[in-house]
Amino acid sequence: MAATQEEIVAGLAEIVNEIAGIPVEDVQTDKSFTDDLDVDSLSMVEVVVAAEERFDVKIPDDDVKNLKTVGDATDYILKHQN
Amino acid sequence: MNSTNRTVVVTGIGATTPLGGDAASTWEGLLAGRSGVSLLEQDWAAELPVRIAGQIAVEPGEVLPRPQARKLDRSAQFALIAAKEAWADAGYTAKAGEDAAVDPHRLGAVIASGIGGVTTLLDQYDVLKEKGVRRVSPHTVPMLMPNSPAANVGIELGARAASTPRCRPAPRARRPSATRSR
Repeated sequence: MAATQEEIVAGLAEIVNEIAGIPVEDVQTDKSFTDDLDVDSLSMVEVVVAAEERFDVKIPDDDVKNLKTVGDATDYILKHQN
Repeated sequence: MNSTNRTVVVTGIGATTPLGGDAASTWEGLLAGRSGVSLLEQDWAAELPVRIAGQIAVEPGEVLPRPQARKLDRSAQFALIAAKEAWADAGYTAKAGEDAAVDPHRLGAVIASGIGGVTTLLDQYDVLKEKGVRRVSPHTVPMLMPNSPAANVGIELGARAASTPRCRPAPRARRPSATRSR
């Protein structure tokens, strides 16, 4: 069953917490992965792979550069999840 | 004393060893005659002919912040823990530059490593075989490179002059290239 927007944000928050140590409550849709959440380009690859697995979605490398904020990633996953 | 006969001054000591998680507990263990050698109980060691080793007394994952620890091989974790202790032991409270007593451009990190991050290499090879290429950590190369301990200590302490794994002086004389076969 497809994840809801709230579930995706919560899932991304858990992933970012695991990888970057940011408290889950700080991971909000308007937050930038690199500027606000301490996710560098290598860690972003980890976030993407973890999100692909969790939400059963493929996020090609060419699309990753467009995912600046948690909201961008949430919208992408909502649209593309199987 | 001439200008090439320089004196080395030890200003701080740090350690994490099979006897203890810092220099003081290691020294105490040495004086007490304790052995740091213990049985290797990990699965990967099951078929080794010798299954004893000097294993670290305090797991670095218990000391370092988790997001930092997960991006470092054990070799760099050990180096970082020992270097931070030595830095504090020398009386510094912040990284070079932030602690005004140290000019970052006059500070270097020189830490030798026998192999580098070999456990990372082996672990990620298993990931590659079992889970596929996309699951291999993007941190694999910065974790396994032999200069990772020096590089990460350099970043942590603000050493801008040099970060290198080389621990011996450059050879003074090289063999003439003419002796090579052509």
